[in-house]
Amino acid sequence: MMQNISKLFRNCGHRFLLPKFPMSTLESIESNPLDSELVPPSSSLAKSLNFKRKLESMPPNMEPKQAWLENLNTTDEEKISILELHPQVFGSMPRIDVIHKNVRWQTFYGRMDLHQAASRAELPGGGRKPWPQKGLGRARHGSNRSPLFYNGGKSHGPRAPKSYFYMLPYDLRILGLTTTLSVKLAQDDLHIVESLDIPTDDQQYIEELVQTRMWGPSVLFVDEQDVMPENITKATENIGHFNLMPAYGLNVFSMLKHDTLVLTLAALNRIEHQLLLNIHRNKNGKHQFRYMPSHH
Amino acid sequence: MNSLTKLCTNTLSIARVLNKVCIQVARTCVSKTALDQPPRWRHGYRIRLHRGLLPRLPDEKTPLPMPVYKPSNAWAPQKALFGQNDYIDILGNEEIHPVTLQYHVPFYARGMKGNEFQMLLHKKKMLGNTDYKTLNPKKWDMLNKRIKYLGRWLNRKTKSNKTNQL
Repeated sequence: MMQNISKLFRNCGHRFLLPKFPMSTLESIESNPLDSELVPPSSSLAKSLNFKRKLESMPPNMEPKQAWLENLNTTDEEKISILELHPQVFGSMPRIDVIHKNVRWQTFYGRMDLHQAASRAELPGGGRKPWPQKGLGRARHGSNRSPLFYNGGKSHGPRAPKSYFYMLPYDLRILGLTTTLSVKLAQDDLHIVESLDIPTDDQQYIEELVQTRMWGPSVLFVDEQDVMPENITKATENIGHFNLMPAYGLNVFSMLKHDTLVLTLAALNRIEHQLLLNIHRNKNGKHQFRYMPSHH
Repeated sequence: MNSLTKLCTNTLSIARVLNKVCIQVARTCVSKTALDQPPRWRHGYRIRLHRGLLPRLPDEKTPLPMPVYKPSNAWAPQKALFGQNDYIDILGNEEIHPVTLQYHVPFYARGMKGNEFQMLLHKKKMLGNTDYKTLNPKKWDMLNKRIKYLGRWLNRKTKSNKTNQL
């Protein structure tokens, strides 16, 4: 376990430089036995090695992270090109405590307890004195609905509405997203794909694809917009552990719940752009991100 | 006498006959009109008709009425996509606050956290501008009653918040 964690830190931190993929020669790729199984020597690879992604607001001391651009056309994976990813988004330090805080926030901030135990004032009746104060030899009581009585009110029971709402600091939520994305990349659970277009709407196709590529049991497909291609929606409709999500819906909880994360190029661009924008923008001390419920 | 012997075969009917004979009615005796009904004793006591093992079918080993355990589906649609859109103000439209998308939370409690008194006051402010009072008069009255009670209780029966006195 400890070895895995140290590996994670080694892969994630921007201070530690990963050996770069040698773009000029294919020999070094073939010399690595693992890579030669996955990368068939094809002309498309040589063509698209020139593909370069523009990274915005790159600090000079940071090296970009790298990932393969893959396809969904065939069950076997075809590596189209190498993409450069921004290190602040995909190479930040894996803050497990920040991930925990984000997950906890997501579970609790929408939680609402609406169950209520009626108090003695809310129950019907209970206004009359059940029996006279003195003379009967019974305990003295004033109301049938006191907590001492059977079917009486509950004095300190649950009282609705009870909420667990709170907001994490804005920067902590951004950090949660960047950390989980970095962790996903470092643990080989992140795959970037051209688009979510698949040739058939057959459910078996997607299942075979995931199995042959050894992606996790559960996969989260993320595209930029919320309208997805027809084939993939039909194929993943009846499978609970393959889910489709727009880029704005991405969150730490879902990324941890699903083993593999598959981003389209458009989604990657969108997510990276938004995160970098919000990391670097000047908030001017405004409370623009605070929710003020209005009484009007 | 024949009718009497017939009656005497049944133990219950003997009691009825005896009761019929004693005319002087004490409070504990069965009244004339209730003779046809079974005698009542231990009024209000719930008789446990079934004792011992729980009921079960002759074929199966699982007892009734406990249902067979069915684990919850972790990949049901709501559970699978839990937490979606929580970062919509970062990754999407920044004018949408994620708490506004919590549709399961009643609108008067959205984005609000506090103790019972604070929550009820807020609820009253939010519902006061609607026609809640005319539609749910009792609930409105109970709300006000509880607010009044809590205000009195907090002020007279509890200590104020402790502050760091420097």
